[in-house]
Amino acid sequence: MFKERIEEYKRGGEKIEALKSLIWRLAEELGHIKIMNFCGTHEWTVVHYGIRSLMPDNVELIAGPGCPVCITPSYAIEKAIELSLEGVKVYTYGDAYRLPSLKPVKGVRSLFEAKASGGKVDVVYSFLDAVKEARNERGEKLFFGIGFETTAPSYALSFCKGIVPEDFYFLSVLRLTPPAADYALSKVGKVSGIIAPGHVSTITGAKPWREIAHNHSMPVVISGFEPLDVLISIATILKMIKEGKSGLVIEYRRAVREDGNKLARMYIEKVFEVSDAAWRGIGIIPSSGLELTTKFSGYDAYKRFSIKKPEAKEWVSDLPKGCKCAEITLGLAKPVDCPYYLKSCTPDRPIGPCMVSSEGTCAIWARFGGGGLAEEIAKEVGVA
Amino acid sequence: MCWAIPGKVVEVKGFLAKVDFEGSIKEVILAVDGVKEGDIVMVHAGVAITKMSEEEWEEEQRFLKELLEGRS
Repeated sequence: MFKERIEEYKRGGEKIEALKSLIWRLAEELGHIKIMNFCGTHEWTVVHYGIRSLMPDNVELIAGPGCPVCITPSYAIEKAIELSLEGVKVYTYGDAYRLPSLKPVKGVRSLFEAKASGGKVDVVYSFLDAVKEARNERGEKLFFGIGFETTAPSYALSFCKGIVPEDFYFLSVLRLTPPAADYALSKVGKVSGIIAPGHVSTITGAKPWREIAHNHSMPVVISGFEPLDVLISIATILKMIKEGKSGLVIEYRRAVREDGNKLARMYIEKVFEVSDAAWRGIGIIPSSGLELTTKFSGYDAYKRFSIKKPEAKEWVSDLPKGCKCAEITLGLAKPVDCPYYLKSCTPDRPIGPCMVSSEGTCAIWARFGGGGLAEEIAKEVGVA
Repeated sequence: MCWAIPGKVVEVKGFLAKVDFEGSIKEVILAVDGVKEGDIVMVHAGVAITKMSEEEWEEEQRFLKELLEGRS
Protein backbone atom coordinates (compact mmCIF):
# COMPACT_ATOMS: atom_id res chain seq x y z
CA MET A 1 0.00 0.00 0.00
CA PHE A 2 1.25 3.40 -1.08
CA LYS A 3 0.08 5.12 2.11
CA GLU A 4 1.83 2.64 4.39
CA ARG A 5 5.03 2.98 2.38
CA ILE A 6 4.95 6.75 2.91
CA GLU A 7 4.43 6.18 6.65
CA GLU A 8 7.48 3.91 6.67
CA TYR A 9 9.45 6.55 4.78
CA LYS A 10 8.69 9.11 7.52
CA ARG A 11 10.53 6.96 10.05
CA GLY A 12 13.70 6.72 7.95
CA GLY A 13 16.24 7.16 10.77
CA GLU A 14 19.26 5.97 8.79
CA LYS A 15 18.43 8.28 5.93
CA ILE A 16 18.25 11.19 8.36
CA GLU A 17 21.75 10.39 9.66
CA ALA A 18 23.05 10.13 6.08
CA LEU A 19 21.44 13.45 5.14
CA LYS A 20 22.84 15.16 8.21
CA SER A 21 26.37 14.01 7.25
CA LEU A 22 25.81 15.13 3.67
CA ILE A 23 24.63 18.58 4.84
CA TRP A 24 27.69 18.97 7.09
CA ARG A 25 30.00 17.85 4.26
CA LEU A 26 28.40 20.22 1.74
CA ALA A 27 28.46 23.17 4.15
CA GLU A 28 32.13 22.70 5.08
CA GLU A 29 33.68 25.08 2.58
CA LEU A 30 30.76 27.45 2.31
CA GLY A 31 30.42 30.79 4.12
CA HIS A 32 27.35 31.76 6.10
CA ILE A 33 24.28 30.29 4.44
CA LYS A 34 20.81 31.64 5.14
CA ILE A 35 17.92 29.45 3.98
CA MET A 36 14.41 30.84 4.22
CA ASN A 37 11.26 28.76 4.43
CA PHE A 38 7.99 30.34 3.32
CA CYS A 39 5.48 28.09 4.90
CA GLY A 40 4.44 27.99 8.54
CA THR A 41 4.13 24.23 8.23
CA HIS A 42 7.79 23.99 7.22
CA GLU A 43 8.71 26.07 10.27
CA TRP A 44 6.62 23.65 12.33
CA THR A 45 8.60 20.69 10.93
CA VAL A 46 11.92 22.51 11.50
CA VAL A 47 11.12 23.29 15.14
CA HIS A 48 9.11 20.21 16.07
CA TYR A 49 11.80 17.82 14.82
CA GLY A 50 14.72 19.97 16.02
CA ILE A 51 16.13 20.35 12.52
CA ARG A 52 18.00 23.56 13.46
CA SER A 53 19.99 21.55 16.00
CA LEU A 54 21.16 19.22 13.20
CA MET A 55 22.61 22.09 11.17
CA PRO A 56 26.27 23.12 11.11
CA ASP A 57 27.00 26.56 12.59
CA ASN A 58 27.17 28.28 9.21
CA VAL A 59 23.72 27.11 8.05
CA GLU A 60 20.94 29.34 9.35
CA LEU A 61 17.29 28.46 8.80
CA ILE A 62 14.90 31.41 8.91
CA ALA A 63 11.11 31.52 8.81
CA GLY A 64 9.24 33.56 6.20
CA PRO A 65 5.77 35.06 5.69
CA GLY A 66 3.86 31.82 5.18
CA CYS A 67 1.15 32.05 7.83
CA PRO A 68 -2.17 33.43 6.54
CA VAL A 69 -3.51 34.07 10.04
CA CYS A 70 -0.41 36.10 11.00
CA ILE A 71 -0.71 38.47 8.05
CA THR A 72 -4.51 38.98 8.07
CA PRO A 73 -4.93 42.76 8.52
CA SER A 74 -6.50 44.02 11.70
CA TYR A 75 -9.26 46.00 9.94
CA ALA A 76 -10.75 42.73 8.65
CA ILE A 77 -10.80 41.21 12.14
CA GLU A 78 -12.31 44.37 13.61
CA LYS A 79 -15.05 44.40 10.98
CA ALA A 80 -15.86 40.71 11.51
CA ILE A 81 -16.08 41.28 15.29
CA GLU A 82 -18.34 44.30 14.78
CA LEU A 83 -20.69 42.42 12.44
CA SER A 84 -20.88 39.40 14.75
CA LEU A 85 -21.91 41.71 17.62
CA GLU A 86 -24.57 43.27 15.38
CA GLY A 87 -26.19 39.91 14.69
CA VAL A 88 -24.48 38.78 11.49
CA LYS A 89 -23.44 35.15 11.87
CA VAL A 90 -19.67 34.92 11.31
CA TYR A 91 -18.01 31.64 10.34
CA THR A 92 -14.25 31.28 10.82
CA TYR A 93 -11.55 28.62 10.77
CA GLY A 94 -10.31 27.72 14.22
CA ASP A 95 -6.90 29.19 13.42
CA ALA A 96 -8.31 32.72 13.21
CA TYR A 97 -10.76 32.40 16.11
CA ARG A 98 -8.42 33.87 18.72
CA LEU A 99 -6.64 36.28 16.39
CA PRO A 100 -6.36 39.63 18.24
CA SER A 101 -7.30 42.88 16.51
CA LEU A 102 -5.32 46.06 17.11
CA LYS A 103 -8.29 48.16 18.18
CA PRO A 104 -10.96 46.76 20.46
CA VAL A 105 -14.53 46.80 19.12
CA LYS A 106 -16.96 47.44 22.00
CA GLY A 107 -14.23 46.16 24.33
CA VAL A 108 -13.73 43.00 22.26
CA ARG A 109 -10.48 42.06 20.50
CA SER A 110 -11.12 38.70 18.79
CA LEU A 111 -13.93 36.58 17.40
CA PHE A 112 -13.44 34.32 20.41
CA GLU A 113 -14.09 37.24 22.77
CA ALA A 114 -16.97 38.38 20.55
CA LYS A 115 -18.65 35.01 21.01
CA ALA A 116 -18.18 35.27 24.79
CA SER A 117 -19.84 38.71 24.61
CA GLY A 118 -22.89 37.38 22.82
CA GLY A 119 -21.64 37.77 19.24
CA LYS A 120 -22.72 35.23 16.64
CA VAL A 121 -19.57 33.25 15.78
CA ASP A 122 -19.07 29.66 14.72
CA VAL A 123 -15.83 27.78 14.12
CA VAL A 124 -15.83 25.47 11.10
CA TYR A 125 -13.39 22.99 9.60
CA SER A 126 -14.11 23.97 6.00
CA PHE A 127 -15.98 26.41 3.77
CA LEU A 128 -18.19 23.51 2.68
CA ASP A 129 -19.23 22.90 6.31
CA ALA A 130 -19.99 26.62 6.71
CA VAL A 131 -22.11 26.58 3.54
CA LYS A 132 -24.09 23.59 4.85
CA GLU A 133 -24.65 25.26 8.24
CA ALA A 134 -25.49 28.62 6.68
CA ARG A 135 -28.37 27.07 4.74
CA ASN A 136 -30.20 26.53 8.03
CA GLU A 137 -29.24 29.85 9.57
CA ARG A 138 -31.65 32.77 9.33
CA GLY A 139 -30.44 36.29 8.59
CA GLU A 140 -27.18 37.48 7.09
CA LYS A 141 -24.02 35.41 7.32
CA LEU A 142 -20.36 36.16 6.73
CA PHE A 143 -17.34 33.96 6.06
CA PHE A 144 -13.98 35.18 7.33
CA GLY A 145 -12.14 34.19 4.15
CA ILE A 146 -8.48 33.86 5.04
CA GLY A 147 -5.93 31.71 3.23
CA PHE A 148 -3.37 31.41 0.47
CA GLU A 149 -3.57 29.69 -2.93
CA THR A 150 -4.18 26.37 -1.14
CA THR A 151 -7.47 27.54 0.40
CA ALA A 152 -8.81 29.63 -2.51
CA PRO A 153 -10.09 26.66 -4.60
CA SER A 154 -12.65 25.66 -1.94
CA TYR A 155 -14.24 29.12 -2.14
CA ALA A 156 -13.95 29.38 -5.93
CA LEU A 157 -15.58 26.01 -6.61
CA SER A 158 -18.39 26.64 -4.12
CA PHE A 159 -19.29 29.99 -5.73
CA CYS A 160 -19.03 28.61 -9.27
CA LYS A 161 -21.15 25.57 -8.50
CA GLY A 162 -23.86 27.77 -6.98
CA ILE A 163 -24.03 26.10 -3.56
CA VAL A 164 -23.51 29.28 -1.48
CA PRO A 165 -26.75 30.81 -0.06
CA GLU A 166 -27.34 34.33 -1.38
CA ASP A 167 -27.22 36.06 2.00
CA PHE A 168 -23.86 34.45 2.84
CA TYR A 169 -21.21 37.14 2.32
CA PHE A 170 -17.54 36.55 1.77
CA LEU A 171 -14.89 38.74 3.40
CA SER A 172 -11.87 37.97 1.24
CA VAL A 173 -8.52 38.23 2.96
CA LEU A 174 -7.02 35.75 0.52
CA ARG A 175 -3.37 36.40 -0.18
CA LEU A 176 -0.87 35.16 -2.79
CA THR A 177 2.51 33.81 -1.70
CA PRO A 178 4.96 34.48 -4.59
CA PRO A 179 4.57 38.32 -4.37
CA ALA A 180 5.19 38.09 -0.60
CA ALA A 181 8.23 35.90 -1.20
CA ASP A 182 9.61 38.51 -3.57
CA TYR A 183 8.87 41.27 -1.07
CA ALA A 184 10.49 39.40 1.84
CA LEU A 185 13.60 38.72 -0.22
CA SER A 186 13.93 42.41 -1.02
CA LYS A 187 13.81 43.20 2.71
CA VAL A 188 15.92 40.45 4.27
CA GLY A 189 19.02 41.01 2.20
CA LYS A 190 21.26 38.08 1.68
CA VAL A 191 19.28 34.86 1.46
CA SER A 192 21.13 31.93 -0.09
CA GLY A 193 18.18 29.71 -0.92
CA ILE A 194 14.49 29.12 -0.40
CA ILE A 195 12.39 26.20 0.76
CA ALA A 196 9.19 26.90 -1.18
CA PRO A 197 5.72 25.94 0.09
CA GLY A 198 4.68 22.43 -0.94
CA HIS A 199 0.94 22.66 -0.72
CA VAL A 200 0.66 26.15 -2.23
CA SER A 201 2.71 24.76 -5.12
CA THR A 202 0.23 21.93 -5.75
CA ILE A 203 -1.97 24.79 -7.03
CA THR A 204 0.55 27.28 -8.47
CA GLY A 205 2.91 24.73 -9.99
CA ALA A 206 6.59 25.47 -10.47
CA LYS A 207 6.36 28.62 -12.64
CA PRO A 208 6.15 31.43 -10.02
CA TRP A 209 8.90 29.83 -7.93
CA ARG A 210 11.11 29.31 -10.96
CA GLU A 211 10.75 33.04 -11.67
CA ILE A 212 11.82 33.86 -8.12
CA ALA A 213 14.83 31.54 -8.45
CA HIS A 214 15.71 33.26 -11.71
CA ASN A 215 15.13 36.86 -10.55
CA HIS A 216 17.14 36.41 -7.36
CA SER A 217 19.70 33.95 -8.83
CA MET A 218 19.31 31.42 -6.07
CA PRO A 219 18.27 27.79 -5.55
CA VAL A 220 14.60 27.29 -4.70
CA VAL A 221 13.31 23.86 -3.68
CA ILE A 222 9.59 23.05 -3.42
CA SER A 223 9.55 20.79 -0.40
CA GLY A 224 7.31 18.29 1.32
CA PHE A 225 6.65 18.52 5.05
CA GLU A 226 8.20 15.41 6.59
CA PRO A 227 11.52 16.02 8.36
CA LEU A 228 13.19 13.92 5.69
CA ASP A 229 11.69 16.14 2.96
CA VAL A 230 13.04 19.28 4.63
CA LEU A 231 16.51 17.75 5.09
CA ILE A 232 16.59 16.66 1.43
CA SER A 233 15.61 20.20 0.43
CA ILE A 234 18.34 21.76 2.59
CA ALA A 235 20.95 19.33 1.19
CA THR A 236 19.77 20.10 -2.35
CA ILE A 237 20.07 23.86 -1.79
CA LEU A 238 23.59 23.47 -0.34
CA LYS A 239 24.63 21.22 -3.21
CA MET A 240 23.35 23.75 -5.75
CA ILE A 241 25.16 26.60 -3.97
CA LYS A 242 28.37 24.57 -3.95
CA GLU A 243 28.03 23.88 -7.67
CA GLY A 244 27.20 27.54 -8.36
CA LYS A 245 23.73 26.69 -9.62
CA SER A 246 20.47 28.56 -9.25
CA GLY A 247 17.02 27.40 -10.35
CA LEU A 248 14.08 25.39 -9.18
CA VAL A 249 13.88 21.79 -7.98
CA ILE A 250 10.67 20.02 -6.98
CA GLU A 251 11.49 17.74 -4.06
CA TYR A 252 7.80 17.13 -3.19
CA ARG A 253 7.15 15.26 -6.44
CA ARG A 254 4.59 12.89 -4.94
CA ALA A 255 2.17 15.82 -4.66
CA VAL A 256 3.39 18.74 -6.80
CA ARG A 257 3.19 18.72 -10.60
CA GLU A 258 5.20 21.06 -12.83
CA ASP A 259 1.98 22.71 -14.07
CA GLY A 260 0.31 22.71 -10.66
CA ASN A 261 -3.45 22.33 -10.55
CA LYS A 262 -4.88 23.92 -13.70
CA LEU A 263 -8.48 23.08 -12.80
CA ALA A 264 -8.22 24.83 -9.42
CA ARG A 265 -6.54 27.85 -11.01
CA MET A 266 -9.28 28.07 -13.66
CA TYR A 267 -11.95 28.28 -10.94
CA ILE A 268 -9.92 30.80 -8.92
CA GLU A 269 -9.58 33.01 -12.02
CA LYS A 270 -13.34 32.79 -12.69
CA VAL A 271 -14.27 33.96 -9.20
CA PHE A 272 -11.42 36.20 -8.06
CA GLU A 273 -9.25 38.94 -9.45
CA VAL A 274 -5.80 39.94 -8.27
CA SER A 275 -5.47 43.21 -6.34
CA ASP A 276 -2.98 45.06 -4.16
CA ALA A 277 -3.49 43.90 -0.59
CA ALA A 278 -2.53 44.68 3.00
CA TRP A 279 -0.34 42.27 4.99
CA ARG A 280 -0.54 42.82 8.73
CA GLY A 281 2.30 44.92 10.06
CA ILE A 282 4.03 44.80 6.68
CA GLY A 283 1.95 47.07 4.44
CA ILE A 284 0.43 46.90 0.99
CA ILE A 285 2.12 44.38 -1.30
CA PRO A 286 1.25 44.93 -4.99
CA SER A 287 -0.80 42.19 -6.71
CA SER A 288 -0.82 40.00 -3.61
CA GLY A 289 -4.53 39.65 -2.84
CA LEU A 290 -7.65 38.10 -4.33
CA GLU A 291 -11.04 39.82 -4.39
CA LEU A 292 -14.37 38.70 -5.84
CA THR A 293 -14.99 39.67 -9.46
CA THR A 294 -18.02 41.75 -10.49
CA LYS A 295 -19.88 38.58 -11.48
CA PHE A 296 -19.79 37.40 -7.86
CA SER A 297 -20.03 40.84 -6.23
CA GLY A 298 -23.43 39.90 -4.77
CA TYR A 299 -21.44 37.84 -2.24
CA ASP A 300 -18.85 40.54 -1.58
CA ALA A 301 -18.83 41.57 2.09
CA TYR A 302 -16.79 44.69 1.26
CA LYS A 303 -19.70 45.94 -0.88
CA ARG A 304 -22.56 44.73 1.32
CA PHE A 305 -21.14 46.19 4.54
CA SER A 306 -19.26 49.16 2.98
CA ILE A 307 -15.87 47.99 4.27
CA LYS A 308 -13.02 50.19 3.13
CA LYS A 309 -9.63 48.65 2.45
CA PRO A 310 -6.60 50.75 3.41
CA GLU A 311 -4.66 52.25 0.51
CA ALA A 312 -0.87 52.31 0.35
CA LYS A 313 -0.58 56.04 1.07
CA GLU A 314 -2.74 55.90 4.20
CA TRP A 315 -1.52 52.56 5.55
CA VAL A 316 -0.21 52.53 9.12
CA SER A 317 1.09 49.52 11.03
CA ASP A 318 -1.71 47.46 12.55
CA LEU A 319 0.42 45.65 15.11
CA PRO A 320 0.48 46.48 18.82
CA LYS A 321 3.32 48.87 19.68
CA GLY A 322 6.57 46.97 20.24
CA CYS A 323 5.28 43.69 18.74
CA LYS A 324 7.85 42.20 16.37
CA CYS A 325 5.50 40.04 14.29
CA ALA A 326 6.24 41.92 11.05
CA GLU A 327 10.01 41.50 11.41
CA ILE A 328 9.56 37.85 12.43
CA THR A 329 7.23 37.25 9.46
CA LEU A 330 9.78 38.75 7.07
CA GLY A 331 12.63 36.68 8.54
CA LEU A 332 14.35 39.78 9.96
CA ALA A 333 13.95 38.78 13.61
CA LYS A 334 13.41 35.69 15.75
CA PRO A 335 10.67 35.33 18.35
CA VAL A 336 13.31 35.60 21.10
CA ASP A 337 14.13 39.11 19.81
CA CYS A 338 10.65 40.35 20.78
CA PRO A 339 10.28 41.96 24.24
CA TYR A 340 6.83 40.39 24.67
CA TYR A 341 7.72 36.82 23.62
CA LEU A 342 6.81 34.41 26.43
CA LYS A 343 6.62 37.32 28.85
CA SER A 344 3.35 39.13 28.26
CA CYS A 345 2.66 37.37 24.92
CA THR A 346 1.93 33.66 25.32
CA PRO A 347 -0.19 31.10 23.45
CA ASP A 348 -2.86 31.49 26.15
CA ARG A 349 -2.85 35.30 25.99
CA PRO A 350 -1.45 36.28 22.59
CA ILE A 351 -0.63 39.93 21.91
CA GLY A 352 0.61 39.58 18.34
CA PRO A 353 -0.85 37.44 15.55
CA CYS A 354 2.26 35.21 15.25
CA MET A 355 1.47 33.76 18.68
CA VAL A 356 -2.01 32.58 17.62
CA SER A 357 -1.99 30.25 14.65
CA SER A 358 -0.46 26.79 14.82
CA GLU A 359 1.64 28.04 11.90
CA GLY A 360 2.72 31.29 13.55
CA THR A 361 6.46 31.33 14.21
CA CYS A 362 6.07 32.57 17.80
CA ALA A 363 3.36 29.99 18.60
CA ILE A 364 5.54 27.20 17.17
CA TRP A 365 8.64 28.33 19.11
CA ALA A 366 6.60 28.79 22.29
CA ARG A 367 5.20 25.28 22.00
CA PHE A 368 8.30 23.37 20.99
CA GLY A 369 11.13 25.37 22.53
CA GLY A 370 12.42 27.36 19.55
CA GLY A 371 15.17 26.51 17.15
CA GLY A 372 18.19 24.89 18.65
CA LEU A 373 17.33 26.13 22.15
CA ALA A 374 17.94 22.74 23.77
CA GLU A 375 21.34 22.63 22.11
CA GLU A 376 22.20 26.16 23.31
CA ILE A 377 21.26 25.24 26.88
CA ALA A 378 23.23 21.99 26.61
CA LYS A 379 26.29 23.97 25.46
CA GLU A 380 25.89 26.45 28.30
CA VAL A 381 25.79 23.75 30.94
CA GLY A 382 28.65 21.90 29.27
CA VAL A 383 26.93 18.66 28.26
CA ALA A 384 27.08 19.20 24.49
CA MET B 1 -3.47 26.87 7.45
CA CYS B 2 -1.66 25.26 4.56
CA TRP B 3 -1.45 21.88 6.22
CA ALA B 4 -2.94 19.11 4.11
CA ILE B 5 -3.46 15.48 4.98
CA PRO B 6 -3.83 12.43 2.77
CA GLY B 7 -7.08 10.50 2.65
CA LYS B 8 -8.56 7.74 0.51
CA VAL B 9 -11.50 8.56 -1.75
CA VAL B 10 -14.46 6.28 -1.00
CA GLU B 11 -17.17 7.96 -3.12
CA VAL B 12 -17.27 10.62 -5.83
CA LYS B 13 -20.42 12.69 -6.47
CA GLY B 14 -19.84 15.44 -9.03
CA PHE B 15 -17.48 18.01 -7.51
CA LEU B 16 -17.84 16.52 -4.02
CA ALA B 17 -16.32 13.34 -2.60
CA LYS B 18 -16.34 11.34 0.59
CA VAL B 19 -12.81 10.80 1.83
CA ASP B 20 -11.61 8.36 4.48
CA PHE B 21 -9.03 9.76 6.91
CA GLU B 22 -7.96 6.74 8.97
CA GLY B 23 -11.59 5.77 9.56
CA SER B 24 -13.10 9.22 9.81
CA ILE B 25 -15.19 9.98 6.71
CA LYS B 26 -15.52 13.59 5.61
CA GLU B 27 -17.23 15.21 2.63
CA VAL B 28 -14.80 17.42 0.71
CA ILE B 29 -14.76 19.60 -2.41
CA LEU B 30 -12.78 18.16 -5.31
CA ALA B 31 -10.48 20.70 -6.93
CA VAL B 32 -8.67 17.94 -8.87
CA ASP B 33 -9.52 16.41 -12.21
CA GLY B 34 -10.17 12.71 -12.73
CA VAL B 35 -10.40 11.59 -9.10
CA LYS B 36 -11.88 8.13 -8.64
CA GLU B 37 -12.67 5.77 -5.82
CA GLY B 38 -9.50 4.41 -4.20
CA ASP B 39 -7.31 7.40 -5.10
CA ILE B 40 -5.27 9.08 -2.38
CA VAL B 41 -5.81 12.83 -2.31
CA MET B 42 -4.27 15.58 -0.19
CA VAL B 43 -7.03 17.50 1.56
CA HIS B 44 -6.58 21.01 2.95
CA ALA B 45 -9.43 22.72 4.86
CA GLY B 46 -12.06 20.55 3.19
CA VAL B 47 -10.76 20.75 -0.37
CA ALA B 48 -8.79 18.08 -2.24
CA ILE B 49 -5.93 20.01 -3.85
CA THR B 50 -3.88 17.23 -5.45
CA LYS B 51 -3.77 13.53 -6.13
CA MET B 52 -0.81 11.63 -4.74
CA SER B 53 1.16 9.77 -7.34
CA GLU B 54 2.95 6.52 -6.50
CA GLU B 55 4.98 6.75 -9.68
CA GLU B 56 6.28 10.20 -8.81
CA TRP B 57 6.95 9.12 -5.25
CA GLU B 58 9.23 6.42 -6.67
CA GLU B 59 10.97 9.17 -8.62
CA GLU B 60 11.38 11.12 -5.37
CA GLN B 61 13.03 8.06 -3.82
CA ARG B 62 15.45 7.84 -6.73
CA PHE B 63 16.24 11.55 -6.27
CA LEU B 64 17.08 10.93 -2.60
CA LYS B 65 19.20 7.90 -3.41
CA GLU B 66 21.17 9.86 -6.01
CA LEU B 67 21.59 12.82 -3.67
CA LEU B 68 23.03 10.57 -0.96
CA GLU B 69 25.26 8.76 -3.44
CA GLY B 70 26.44 12.11 -4.86
CA ARG B 71 25.29 11.42 -8.39
CA SER B 72 22.56 13.95 -9.00
